[in-house]
Amino acid sequence: MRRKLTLGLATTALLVLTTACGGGGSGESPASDAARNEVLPMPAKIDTSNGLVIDGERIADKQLFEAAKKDKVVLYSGSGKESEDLTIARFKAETGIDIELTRMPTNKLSERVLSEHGANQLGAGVVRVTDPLVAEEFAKRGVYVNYQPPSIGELAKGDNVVFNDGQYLTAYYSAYAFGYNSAAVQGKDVPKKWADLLDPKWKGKLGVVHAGAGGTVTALAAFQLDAFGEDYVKALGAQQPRIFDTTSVQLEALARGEITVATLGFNSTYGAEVAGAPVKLVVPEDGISGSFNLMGLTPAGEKSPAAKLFINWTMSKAGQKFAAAQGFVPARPGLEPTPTGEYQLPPADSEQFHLFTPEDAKERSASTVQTWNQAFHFTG
Amino acid sequence: MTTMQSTRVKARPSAPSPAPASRRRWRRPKGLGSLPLLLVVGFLILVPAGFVLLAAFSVDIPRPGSINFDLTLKHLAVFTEPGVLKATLNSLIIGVSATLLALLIGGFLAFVTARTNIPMRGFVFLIGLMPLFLPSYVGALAWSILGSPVAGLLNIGMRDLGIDFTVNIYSMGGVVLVMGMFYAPYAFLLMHSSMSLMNPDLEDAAGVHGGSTWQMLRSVTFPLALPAILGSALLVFTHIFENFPVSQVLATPGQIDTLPTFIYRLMNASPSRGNEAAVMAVVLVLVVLLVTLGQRRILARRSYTTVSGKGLKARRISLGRWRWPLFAVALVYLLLSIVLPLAALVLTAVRTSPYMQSFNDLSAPGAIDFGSFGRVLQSDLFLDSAGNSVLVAVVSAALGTVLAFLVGYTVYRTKAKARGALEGVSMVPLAIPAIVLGMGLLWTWLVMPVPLYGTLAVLMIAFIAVQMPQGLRGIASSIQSTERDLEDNAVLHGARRSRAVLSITVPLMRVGIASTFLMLLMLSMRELTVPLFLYTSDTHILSITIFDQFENGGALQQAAAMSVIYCLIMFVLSYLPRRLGSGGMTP
Repeated sequence: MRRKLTLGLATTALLVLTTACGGGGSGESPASDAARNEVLPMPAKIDTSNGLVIDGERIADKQLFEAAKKDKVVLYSGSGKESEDLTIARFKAETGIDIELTRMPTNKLSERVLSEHGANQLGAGVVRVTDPLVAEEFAKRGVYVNYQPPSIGELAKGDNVVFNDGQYLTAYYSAYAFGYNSAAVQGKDVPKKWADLLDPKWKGKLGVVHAGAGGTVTALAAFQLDAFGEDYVKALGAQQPRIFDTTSVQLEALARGEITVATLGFNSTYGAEVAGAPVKLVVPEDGISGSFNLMGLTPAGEKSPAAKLFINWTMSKAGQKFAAAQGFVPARPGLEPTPTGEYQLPPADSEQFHLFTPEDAKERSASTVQTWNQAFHFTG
Repeated sequence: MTTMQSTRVKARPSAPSPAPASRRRWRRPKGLGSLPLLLVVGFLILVPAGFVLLAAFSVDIPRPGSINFDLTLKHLAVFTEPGVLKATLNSLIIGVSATLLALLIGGFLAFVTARTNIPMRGFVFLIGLMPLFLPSYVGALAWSILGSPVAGLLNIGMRDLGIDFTVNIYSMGGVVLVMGMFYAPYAFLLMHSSMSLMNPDLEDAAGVHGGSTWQMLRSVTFPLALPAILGSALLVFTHIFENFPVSQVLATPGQIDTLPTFIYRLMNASPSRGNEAAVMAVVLVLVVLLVTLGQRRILARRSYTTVSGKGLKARRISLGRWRWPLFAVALVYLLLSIVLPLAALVLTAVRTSPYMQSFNDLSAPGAIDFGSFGRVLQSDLFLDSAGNSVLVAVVSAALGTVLAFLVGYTVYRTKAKARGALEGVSMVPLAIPAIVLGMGLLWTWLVMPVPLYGTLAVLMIAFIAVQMPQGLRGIASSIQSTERDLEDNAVLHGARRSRAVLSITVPLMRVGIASTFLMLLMLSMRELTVPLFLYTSDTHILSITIFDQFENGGALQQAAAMSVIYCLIMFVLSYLPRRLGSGGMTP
C-alpha cells in the first residue's frame, strides 16, 4: 500500500512538473503568421532610430518608446477574440512591444472591470468594449482617464470618435451584415440583398444572434427596423431561424453547415474565412449595420508607457489600416479605403453605413430588443 | 435492521469497565472544534453567498467601492417576467428526468460491479467512472457535434446509410440524455462504496430465513443503500438543476430555456441585471435547503451502519444467463458516454474542413491532418493552462477532502451544537448557481485585504468552497456506514480521540475518502463557470481555455484537440486516488 502510494504521488508530481514547466513551446499563435502578412502586408517602413515611426507617422517619441520596451500592454477586451488575437500579434510585430490580452464578452468584462476598479485592483492598462453605454459608465466611474494620442487632431474631425476630450475613443466600428456557407450555397442561390433572406428556401436554415446579446446585434436590429420596417423583422422571425447567444457559436454552426445562411459580424466571419472555414460574406447594397468599438486608458495605464503606445498605434494610420483589413470600418477620418480581402466595406460617413450612435443606444436599445424579441418569439 | 442495532448495543457492556477518568473521554465526542470549523466554512461560503443575498435586495449591485445598504424589493418583479415559469418548469423536468436516468445508470453499474458476477467486473467498474474524465461541457460540445439535426455526425452517417431518421440533440430528450449520462458517475461512486461495504450478515439472515434473492435485495440490500441513493439523488439533482454549460450548448439552440440559462441571460443583458439574477438564486437556495433538511429527517430516523470491522466480504449474486446481456447494457453506456463523444472530438480535431456532407468526404486527399494535436501540445497557452489546472485541482481536492472529513466527522459523530448549522452551511453552494456564486466569490476576494486575487490560490479557495457539498456528501455516506464502536473502543482503552480517528476511522474509511478525493479532483479539473469570473490572464486553466476557444474564439478544431488531451490528463490523474483506495475501489 505504502509503495503504491509513493509511486502514485511520484507520478503525479512528475506530471505536474512536466505540464507546468512544459517543454518550451514555440509561443507563436496561429494568429501571428496571419497578422504578419496574410491579412495585410507589413508596413513598408518601420523606423526605430528615434522613437517609433511607422510609414512616416510618429507613434511614440524616444522616451515613450524606450520605456514601453521594458513594459507590457495589459489589454482587457470585449471585442471578438479572433480579431483581437490578430491585432495584438500585429501590434507586437510592428512595434516589438509585449502585449497580453484578457478577452471576455463585454457585459462580463464590464462586471469584472467595475469590480476590480472598485477594489483598486484593475490590472488592465487599456480596456476595450463594444457597448457605448458600458464605456460611458466606465468614464463616469473613472475607469477611463484622459489621454490624447498624437493623432488627436485628425480624430477630432470625425463625429463620435473622441469622447469627453479624450477620456475614451472610438477605436473603429464593427460592421454587421450577412453571409452563407460557401460549400452549401453557390451561384444563383447566393443572397445579395436583405430581402433575399426572406426567401422560403432558407426556412429553418437561417441563423441569427438574439438582439439582446450585445451592442452589435442591437444595432443590427435597429438598422433592420429603420431601413425595412417591423414587418421585415417579423418576416425574418417567421423563417424559424436558429437563435444563438454568441456570434462565435453561430459561426461554428454555419461552418459545419448546421445553418446555411446567417446574419454575421463582418470581422469575426472574415477571420474564420481566412482560417479556412467555408463561409463567405455579403456586403449588401441596401445597407450594412455599424456599431462602436471603444477604448480608453485606465489609471494603471497612465503609469504604463506600453499602454499609451498601444492607443497611439491603434489610432495611427497603420493601426487603422490593419483594422480595416480585418473587416472593421476605421474611425479615423480621411483614410484611403483599405479592402478586407475580396470585400470592400463602405467608409464610416457613407449612406450605406448605418451607425447605431451612443444616443440611439441610450434611447432605443430597450425598445429595439423588445420588438425584436416579440417578432422572434424569444424570451430573454 | 433490529439485528444490527442489538449487536451494537451488546458490544458496549462487553468492553472492560472503564476507569472513571477515561469514562468522560469515551463518550460521544463533544466536537469542541466545531466552532472554528464553522467559522472557516462560514467564511468560505457565507461571505460570497452574502454578497449574492445583498445583491438580491439592494438597489445597486454590491461591487467593491460601491457597497451600500439601500434595500429594495423591486427586483422580485423578475418573477412576473414571461418565461420565468416556463424556464423553471423546464429545469424541473430536466432535473427530475435526468436524475432518474443518472440514478438508474449509476445504480445499475454500482450494483453489478459491487454485488454480482458480471463478466470483466474491473472493466465495468471503469465504465462507471470514465465519464468523469469528460467534463459535462466537453460532453455537451461533443454531443452537439454528434447530434445536431442537420450537420450532426450521427445524422450524416445515417444519411450515408440511407436511414431516414434524424437525431435532434437540441431537444428536451437530448438534454436529459446527456445530463443523465454525465452525472451518472456521481451516483455510481456514492452507491458503489455503500454497496461494496455492506455487511453480508443481514443478507445471509434473509437467505437463511428462506427469502428469495429478490426479496433479500428488496428488503435488506436496497434499504441499506438508501442513504447513498438519497444522497446521490440530492447531489445529482441539484447539480443538474443548476447545470449551465450543458443547457447552454444543447438546450439554448433548441429554444428551451432553463433557469441557469435564464439567469445567465439576465447577467449578460445590457446593462447587466445582476440584482434580478441574484433574486432567483436566493429562491433556489431556499428550495435546496428545504430538500436537504427533508433528506436529513428521512435518514435521521434509522441507523444505516454497515461497516463494522467484522466480516467485509459482500455477497455476490449470480446473474446466470443475464451475465452477458447486462454486460452489453454497460457497453452501450460506454459507447454513448465515452466512445462516440471522444471519436467525434478526435474527428473534429483532425478534419481540415469543418464542413462535411458524407463520411466519404474523409477519404479525399488532405481531408485529415493530425497536426492540430501537435500544435496544441506545443502552444504556451495549453502548457500554462494544463499546469495551472493540475496544480489547482490537486491542491483544492486535497484540502477540500480534509475539510469535508472534519465537517463530516463533526456533523455525524459528535454532539456539537453547531453541527446542524455546519451541515446547512456546507450544502449552501449546491443551491447557488455557480454563475452567481462566481460573482459573489469575485466580489469577496476583491474586497479582502489579502492580495489573493489574481493568483491560483483564489481559484483553489473558490473550488474548495464551491465543492464543499460534494465533498461532504461523499464523506457522509462513508462515515454513516462505518461502525463507530471500533474508534470508541480505542478511546476506551486510553487512546486520544484524534489518534483513534487517525488510526482507526480514517483507515476504515479509506475507500470513501479516496473516492471523495477523486470526485473533488475531477470536479476541480472540470469546473468552468466559477473560474470564469475569477481567472486573470496569469491564471488560465484548461476548462476556461477550451470554453474560450469555442464560445469566443470560434476555434472548434483547437477546442476539440484540447478537449481530447484534457480528458487524457484527467484519466491519468484519476490513477492516483484509485491506487490509494485500491483495497476496495478496484474489485
